[in-house]
Parts: sequence; C-alpha cells; structure tokens
Amino acid sequence: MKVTIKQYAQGLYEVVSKAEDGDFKVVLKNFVKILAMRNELRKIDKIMEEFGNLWNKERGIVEGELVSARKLSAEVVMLLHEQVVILLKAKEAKLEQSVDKDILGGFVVRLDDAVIDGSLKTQLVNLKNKLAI
Amino acid sequence: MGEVISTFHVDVRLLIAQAVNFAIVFVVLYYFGIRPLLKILTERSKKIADSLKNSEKIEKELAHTQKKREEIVKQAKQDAIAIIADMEAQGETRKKEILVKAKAEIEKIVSKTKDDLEIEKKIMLKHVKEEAAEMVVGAMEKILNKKMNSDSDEAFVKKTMQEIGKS
Repeated sequence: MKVTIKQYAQGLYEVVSKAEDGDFKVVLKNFVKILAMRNELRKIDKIMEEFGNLWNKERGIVEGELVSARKLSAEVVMLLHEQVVILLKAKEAKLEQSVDKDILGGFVVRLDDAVIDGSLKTQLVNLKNKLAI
Repeated sequence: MGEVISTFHVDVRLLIAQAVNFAIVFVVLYYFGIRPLLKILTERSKKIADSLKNSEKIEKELAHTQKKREEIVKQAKQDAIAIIADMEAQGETRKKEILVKAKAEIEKIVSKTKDDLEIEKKIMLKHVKEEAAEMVVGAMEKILNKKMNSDSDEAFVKKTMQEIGKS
C-alpha cells in the first residue's frame, strides 16, 4: 500500500505527540528505519516539512519573517510577537528578523498566508494614492 | 310694208341669210365660247364663294385657336405661379429642415466638445494630482530618510502596532 507524505507526517505527529520527552529520539529513529525499509528515505525532507506545518497548526504556532528598516530592540520585537499572536489568535509566534532599508521605517511581518504591513514605505504609497485621487 | 322694204332697199333673202348666219355664229359661239366661259365663270364664282366660306371658317378657327392659346397661356401662367408657390413653400420647408438639422448638429458638436474638454480637464487634473502627490511623497521620503533614527523608528513601530491592534 502506498503511503503519502501527508499520511507519513500525520502518523509521525500522532506518535510524537503521545510519546514522553525522552522517547522522541527513539520514535524518530524507528520512523527513519521504517522509511528505509520501505525505500522511501528520499521523501524525508518533505515529510519533515509537512510534520512541521502540522505541529505548528496543532499547537497554534505561526512562523514568519519580521522585516524592519533598522535592527529593533528586544522589547519592540517581543511586543511585535505578542501583537502577531493576538492578531492571528495563535498561541506562539516565531518570527525571523531581517533588515531592509527600502521600507524606510516601521515593520512588515510576512507569514505563510498573510502579511502585516506597518512599514513607512507602504504608508507613504497609500498617502500618494490618496493624494492622487 | 312693201313700201318700207323697197324704200330702205331691204333684201328679204339677204336678211334671212344673215339671220341664218347669225344663228349659226350664235350657236357656234354659244357652244364653243359662251358656254365654256359661263362654266368657267360659274366654277370661279363657286371657288370664290368656297374660298370666302373657307376664309370665314379659317378666321373662326383662328379666333378659336387664339382663344384657346390664350387660355393655355393663362393656364400655363397659373400653373407656373402654382409651381413657383409650391417650390417656394418646399424651399421654405427644406430651409427650415436644414436649419433644424444644422442646429442639432451644432448642439451635438458643442456638447461633444464640452464632454471632450471635461474629460481632458479631468485627465489633466489627475496628472497634476499624481505629479503633486509624487513630489510631496518624494520630498517626505527624503526628509524621513534623513531624520528617521532607531528611536523614532521604534516609536513609529509601536504606534503602528497600536493602530493595527485597534483596527
């Protein structure tokens, strides 16, 4: 019987979520063995990606990118994380920080299926559009 | 009687002979001269009479023709007057039609020109607004680039977060 990537990821998630903290390694080792037996080790990257998505979804974790024009202080970054959690009704936000001078100021949060744009550049563009009407 | 005849030397036989001669000459003249002449004269008289008759007839016909001609000319004049009046009326109607049409055309052109001007005005205004907006935002961008620092940026981030949270 052929098992899809999604089914592998779902199975792994169910086993991992029921396992004790110390059993994670054993579970993963067994899972890799099963893949090797079925000659499907080449699918492991995609399975782990799907597993990560499933893990985040089930635990209310959102992952994305936080772009700012300058490096932000830890306090502001934490506030942004909290704000993203509130806005997306998630439990946790994992944002990777990066700097892009082109946005002039403010921030942009890019998630898989959403963008929170609080950049100065976008606000200026919006202002320009309003003035041009 | 005998005395008279002898007095005047009248020869009875000569008289008779002359009478016979006269009769012969008369007969010959009558048949070959007078009679054809009378015939010719009669025919001529008849011809003249006919000619006169024809002349009267021709005169009458001429008069009739003249009258008829006058009537035709009169009728023609009346017809011509009617045609001219009709033509004038038609011309007047056509003139009115052309005027109405021309007026409508002019109104249409004026309306179109107004619309075109309005569109051009709107386009021009839009361009002006766009250019003004471009200039204003460009200037703001330059100023913000110079004036913005970490503190003001963080303050802006916090303010923006609050606004996003409210909306």
